[in-house]
Parts: sequence; C-alpha cells; structure tokens
Amino acid sequence: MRFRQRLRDMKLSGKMILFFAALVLCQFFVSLAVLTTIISRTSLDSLKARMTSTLQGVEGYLGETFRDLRVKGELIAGQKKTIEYTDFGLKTLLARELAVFRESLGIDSISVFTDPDYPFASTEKFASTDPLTREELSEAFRGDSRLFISRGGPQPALVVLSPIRRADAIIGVLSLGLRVDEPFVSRIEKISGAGIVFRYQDLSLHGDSLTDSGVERALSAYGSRSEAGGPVVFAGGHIVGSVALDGLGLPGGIIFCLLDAGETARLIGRYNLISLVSTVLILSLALVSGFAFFRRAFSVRVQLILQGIAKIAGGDFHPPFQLDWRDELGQLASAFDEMCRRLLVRETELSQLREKLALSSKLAALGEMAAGVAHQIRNPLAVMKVSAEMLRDSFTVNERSEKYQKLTSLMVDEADTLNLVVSNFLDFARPRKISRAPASVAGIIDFCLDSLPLERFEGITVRRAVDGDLPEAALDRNLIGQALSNLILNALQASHAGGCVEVRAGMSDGRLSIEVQDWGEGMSEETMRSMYNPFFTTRESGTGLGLSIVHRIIEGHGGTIDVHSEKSRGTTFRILL
Amino acid sequence: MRKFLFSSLLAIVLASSLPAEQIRFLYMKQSGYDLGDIVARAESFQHQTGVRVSPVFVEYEDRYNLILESAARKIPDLDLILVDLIWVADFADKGIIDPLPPVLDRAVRAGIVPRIYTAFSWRDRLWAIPFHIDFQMLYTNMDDMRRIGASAPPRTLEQMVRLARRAKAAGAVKYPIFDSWRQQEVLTCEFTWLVGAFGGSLVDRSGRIECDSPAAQRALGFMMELLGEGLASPYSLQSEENFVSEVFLAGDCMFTTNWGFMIRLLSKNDQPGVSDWAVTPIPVSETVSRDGKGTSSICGFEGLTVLKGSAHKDSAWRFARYLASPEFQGRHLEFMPVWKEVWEREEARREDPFLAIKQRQIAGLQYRPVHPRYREASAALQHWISQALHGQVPPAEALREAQAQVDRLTGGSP
Repeated sequence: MRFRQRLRDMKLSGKMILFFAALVLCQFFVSLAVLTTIISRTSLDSLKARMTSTLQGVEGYLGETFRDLRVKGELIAGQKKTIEYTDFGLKTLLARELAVFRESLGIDSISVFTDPDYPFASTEKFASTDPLTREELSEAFRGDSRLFISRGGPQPALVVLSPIRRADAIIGVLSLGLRVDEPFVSRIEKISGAGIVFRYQDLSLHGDSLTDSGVERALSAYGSRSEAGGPVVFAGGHIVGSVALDGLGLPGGIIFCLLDAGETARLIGRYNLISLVSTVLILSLALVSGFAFFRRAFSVRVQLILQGIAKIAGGDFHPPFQLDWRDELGQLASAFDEMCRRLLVRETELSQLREKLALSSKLAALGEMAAGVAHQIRNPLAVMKVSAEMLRDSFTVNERSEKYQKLTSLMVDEADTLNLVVSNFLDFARPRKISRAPASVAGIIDFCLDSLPLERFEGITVRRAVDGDLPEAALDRNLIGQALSNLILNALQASHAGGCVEVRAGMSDGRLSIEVQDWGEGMSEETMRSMYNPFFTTRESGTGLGLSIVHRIIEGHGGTIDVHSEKSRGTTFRILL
Repeated sequence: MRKFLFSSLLAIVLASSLPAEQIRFLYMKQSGYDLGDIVARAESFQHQTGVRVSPVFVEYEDRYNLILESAARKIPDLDLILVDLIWVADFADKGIIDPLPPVLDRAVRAGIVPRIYTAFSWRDRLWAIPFHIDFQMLYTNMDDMRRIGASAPPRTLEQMVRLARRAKAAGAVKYPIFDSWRQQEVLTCEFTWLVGAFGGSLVDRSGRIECDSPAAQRALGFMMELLGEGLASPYSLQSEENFVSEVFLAGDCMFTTNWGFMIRLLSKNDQPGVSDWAVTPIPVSETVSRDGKGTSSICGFEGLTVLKGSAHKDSAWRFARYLASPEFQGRHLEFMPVWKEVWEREEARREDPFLAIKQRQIAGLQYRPVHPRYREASAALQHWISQALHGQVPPAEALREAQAQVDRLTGGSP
C-alpha cells in the first residue's frame, strides 16, 4: 500500500524511469536466459558435431595410415633391389636399402623374411619372431598381405606384411612396422584434437592429454551406455565416441575419442559471463542513455511547460515559450503561446469594456442626478420664460421700450437655451427606448438637413451624396436623425467660412455606411481620446453631451462609429449599421 | 754490321712473339691418378720446357671413338693419348700410333718387368709406355671364414670351392662367390684368368685367338658348376665391378676377384659389413699347381703413346716420359707403380703393404689376345660365354660357336 501510495505520489519522470528500469531488468533476464540457453545448446551441439567429425577424421587417418603402410609395403616389396637382394642373399645390402626406405618413408622398422622364423634382413636387431608374427608370416608366404599388431618386439607395432614375388614365386615377405605406442596415439590426438584411447586385445594406450583415471571413468560410463562404434554420448565428463577397427583389418580393435566436456562447460561459462557482462553493459548504457534522453527530451521540457503554464496562471498572458520544437511537446507549447496571444487580446478588449462599463455606470448615475436636477430646473425655467414673454408682449413700454424689448427677448432666448440644455441632459440621462422601423436613410438625411439652421453658417456648403439604391433599414429614425444632426452640426461648427460639409451614405461590406466629413481644423489626439466622454467640449457654449449621445444611439443600434481626423485637414465620422 | 744487328733483333722479336708449342693430351676420368695431379704435372712440364700441355679428360667409353676421329684428321687435334692395352694392336694396325722411339723402348724394357710391358707389345714392338697398371686379385671375407672355422684364404680354386660349400651349408652366406660376369669386357677378363688358372691361354702358340681349348672348356665348366651348385651368385651375371665391390664390402659374399681399387675401398670402409678381409693372389687349379703357389690374374693396363700424325711428337714423347717417370710414380704410391726401381724403395713397401702380394700377382698375369680385331673377338666371346652361363646354350657349344665366330673375324690369323 505504501509503495502504491509512493508510486501514486511520484513524479511522472520518476515513474517513467522506474518503468524503464523495470523494462531493462526484464530485458536483461530474458536476454540472459536466451543467451545462456543458446550458447549451451550451440556449444554442446557443436561439440557433438565436432566429435562426429573427429571420429570420421580418426577413421580416415587410420585408414589412410593403414593404406599408406600397405602401399609402401607393396612398393618396397616390388622394388628391383629388394627382390634381387632377397633372391640373391645380399642381406647387408638389402638391410642398407631397407634403412634408406625407413628413413625416407617414415617407417619405424622394415624387415625382409625368407623364413617365418627369423628375419633375413632388417633395420632392427631381433633374433626370432613371436608366434603371432610367425603365423601371420606363414599366411603372407601363401601370398596374402597381412595387417596386424605385433607384440613380439619391445614395443607393440602395427605390422604390414607384403609378399616379395619374383616371377610367380614368393621369395620372401616384407614386413613394415609402425610402432603402436604413446607417441603413435599422441599423433592421432594431435591430428584429431581429441583425447585418444587405442585398445586392441589386451593392449590399451592413451595419449598425453588423458589420465588413466579419466580414461577409466569415461570409458566405464561410455560402456554402460553404448556399444563400440555407437552414438556420441556424454560420459564421465567427456563426450565420447568410438571407431571400430574391424573394417581396417584389426578385428576387435577400437579407438575411443574423448572430448573434454568440462572444458566446453568452462567455455560455456566463459561465454555466459561475457554475454552477462555485455548485456549488463548494454542495458546500463540503454538505461543511462534512456534516462538522459528522457530528461532532455521530456522531463526538462515538461518542467518548462509547467513553468510557462504557471506564468499564464499568474496572469501573464505574454506567450511564454516561443520555441522551435517540432514534436508534440513543441506543438503543445505553440498551442499555449497561441492561447496566450488570444487571451492577451481578450484581456485588452475586456479592459476597454471595463472602462466603458465604468463610464456608463458613472454616466447613468450622473444622468439620474441630472434628470432630477433638470426636472427641478425646468419647471421654474418654464415659469420664467412665460413671465419673460408676458413682460415682453403684454405690457406697454416707454421711450426706453426698445431696450426693454431687447432684454426681455434675451431672457426668452436664454430660457430656450437653458431648456435645450436641460433637454440634452434628459436625453443623455434617460435615453429613449429604440423603436426600430423600416426607414429610408436618404429620407433621414434630408430631414436632418432641412431641420438644421444652416443659414446660421453662412459661406459653408453642405453636400449630400447618397446612393440611389440604398435599401430601407430597420432603424429608429428619430434617434438616428438626432445622431446625424449632432454630427452635421459639429461639422458645420468646425468648418471655416467657404468650407464644405459632406454627408455620404452607401453600402460597405453588406453594412449601411453613413459618413459625415468636414475640412475644418481637425482634432488633436487628446480630443479624440476624450470626445465621447460626457461634458467634454472644446467650445465655450457646448454642453459636451452631443457626441456622447451619438455614440450611445449608434451602439444602441448595434453599430459602430469611428473617426478619422487630422489636424488642419478635417474630420470624418463613419457610422456602420 | 747494321744489317746483321737488325736481322738479329728481328729474329729475337719474332721468336718471342711466336705462340708457345702446345700438345693436347687425352686422359681418362676414371683412371687411378687424381686429375689434379695430372694437371699439376702438365703445368710443371710447361714450366720446365715451355711446352704447354692441355689435358682433355673424357670417359672411358668415349675415348676409343675420340682417338679414331682425331687420327682421321690430316693433323690430329690430339698428340698424346692414354691407351688401353686392348687397343694397342688395333691402333698400331690402323697406323694411328707409332711404336716407342728406340730410346724409350730401351728404357722401358730395362726398367719395367716384362709381364707389364709385354702387354703393350705387338709384332715385337712396344707401342706405349706403361703408365697405370691394374689387375684382379682374390678378396676373401675373413668374417665368413671364421664362421666356418677357416683361417686362411684358399690357395687353389678347388680349395676355394670347398670353403664356399662349407659356408653355404652353414648358412653363413647364401652365395659365397660373387663376381662380375655380366656380358661386357669384364667377362672376357674373368674368363681370361680362369683359363690361365686351368693352365691355358686365350692365345695359342701361333698367336691365334683360341677360345675352345681344354683349359677354356674347364674354365667355363668351372663357372657353370659354381652357378649350378649355388656357390656363385646368379646376380654375378648382371653385376659390374663396382657393385661387386659393394657386395663384398657389405659382407654379402665370401670370395670375389676384383681390381685393385677395392683395396682402397676396403681400407676406407666404415659401413656395416665385412670387418676382416684378406687380399691374395688369385689361385689356380690344383691341376695346374699342386703346391698352391700358382696364381692367375688379368691385367688391365693403360699406357701413354703418341699419335702418328701429331705435329709435336717429340714434345709429346717427352711429356709421356715425364709423366710416367719413376719420380712421379714414386710420389703416388697409392697406385701400383710400373718401374722396378720404385718397387725396391723402402717407402714403397711402407706405403703399400700389399706390394709384395701384388708383385706375386703380376707374375701370374694373363693377357687378353693382342689382336687388331680384339674388340670384335672379345664381344663374340662375351656373348657365347654369357649364353652358356644363362643356360641358354651348352658350354661346349658356346665355346665352339665363339671360336668359329672369332675365326671368322680374324681369319684364324694372329
């Protein structure tokens, strides 16, 4: 449970390392098992195959040796000098010739018999022959070549007897002897590469590579498992095979070949150790390199991403990565960067909205207050105006009545002005509900131009450019008209004498576009930033509520209004609905 | 006076510018003396006389034809030759060689025993200076002799046969007698001494070649008996002298007759084989010498002679005498000297322990026929003797046929 808890609490990198290490260990044990099995099986199969090959080689070598001995025997027995010296009794000369043959042909002893009992000429010194040799010689004198193991000399010898013929008569028998001793067996060992045991009748010889006890142990185990010439088997720590010599002319003779399985086991152990070490090395390398790779390609970068995400979470929406990674983590980082970019935009927009909301709230409160004040002002103002009108119109004036007239008229005008101001305040503070109805924009523009006191702006031309095929739009014609009137009035007020104000209407990208342009002084940057704020004005007589009302009306229609202005070049307001 | 001085000076200049006299000397490679000794002798002669001697060394087999070819030239390219005694009559008869100058003739006859110089005599003239003499002797394997209880070499042929029988019977040796009886000149040599051993000769009193004499019949019969009884090795019929010497040295036979070189081989032999041996004069049959003192052998001599057409005869004879001088032979006592005065020197007896035996053997030397057609006659004789020894022709018929063929060759004349 604790382990599971720890595992659950472990970092992802730790888990992956743990998983990779476990995988490597599994791979190690699997590889070790497979390699050990393969090496063992291969080595033992190889050893058996080698033994089979060795047996063939030994049999071939012995066969070749015996054949070679027979051929040499026949060769020497057929030599002219051998025949003549034997026939003419030149025993010493014959012995010299035989000595030459012995040296040149690598044979241990050569003798010529004209009688089975004792040699006529020989390279060796011996007085008489043993019974077996006499028996074999008697057979040879009857014309048969013979091969046998002689035990008559100081050393057992493999003997080939070849009749010496002159015309049709057998005048003697040539005997070639090859000592069957430990050097002989060692030669076979050297050629075969295996331990050799030579057994013939009661003769048992083995080479230098074997010990008596080792031979006894191996052959005892072998004997209980297989007959001579049988299959290759494991016995007594050796792989043992045998070659029967019956077919080679030595009935009952047998050669055992012993390959040291212990040596092979040691070799297998060595191979296994090598494979173990190499596996450990390779897997350690894999582990280390895997860890390094994981750390570099995953862990470090995930950490980086986590840090970036933490920055984002902290409210820093600047793209934290901006990396050139091409892989999945790179794509993730790029996605985060893109997300941050968008969040940054939204944040900006949100900030603006917040500002607007604050302004709106402030204006709403101000409007409520202004509406209350205006309502309280308006009634007395109406009384004052009626009173001024009555003073001006209903009472007889004296010589100074002209001046009286002028002052009362002024009072009436000012009362109207104050009323207008109050009305604007009320419009701003209590915006009217938008009542949309299909309306012609051209008609609205024409109404505005007709209702505005253009005569007050002498020398300024007002141009109208409205597309003829403009469709009707669902608008509150009064509010739109009020907005346009404010914009046109502002443009007229900004224009110089001889200037021009142009009102344009048309379609732009599927939306209704209305533009009011003047070529007056234009606006400064600061003016442009504050122009929609209530009560902001650059004129002494303005209330500073006109553009605020225009902005509210347009937004109330879901449209937008933007302005382009350059100092001394004029200003263009553009409404998109 | 001026003319005389000028003529004398011119003569001196011409004489000094003339090439030195040169003689070409044909010598045999197999001859006993070392070839280096011959060359040294030639250089010594040139040093003393100003005559340049150019030895030409050839094989025995090539020598006869070379001499004939050289003699056939208008001026022979050979001056001095080493001649086998069997060619003397042939070359003299062909007019190829000259007899010895009288002075030399007298010196040879005075200083050399007749048994030696007679070998080079034909029609009462001597035709070569005896230079290298060789003859066969009896060699006895004393190891085998001891095995059969004998202690002394045989003194008669019959005694030799008895000893051989005992050795064969005792199994000491399969064939006690081994000789060179192959069908070549050596067979004539063997037959010649055997005929002598039975009291005869291959030349009758008139000088005619006689092959079918009673002694010849007994000689051939003797050879046949030895072969038939298994006392002589049948291998003898195909063996030459060198192989016979090998057989004896190996101890594979008890008796053999062979040339003098075998003494040197036996003295130097270090191979297993015969360890104790004896050299004695070849005995004759008891029918000829009952006291066992009679000997018979065959001579094989080489002599020095000058070609008749040589342009440098005097110088050639001078070098021949210089080379064959007692002084030269006295310095090479490993070879049998020809001069009596050398025999009598103490160092000669000291250097050659067999000298006395050799002198005895020389007394019993037999000659092969001295006849211009000897080579053909010898070939015929070899053929028929060989036929008989191989059992292909009865001995009597073989000798009869040989005689008839020889007679046809020689016309029955000496």
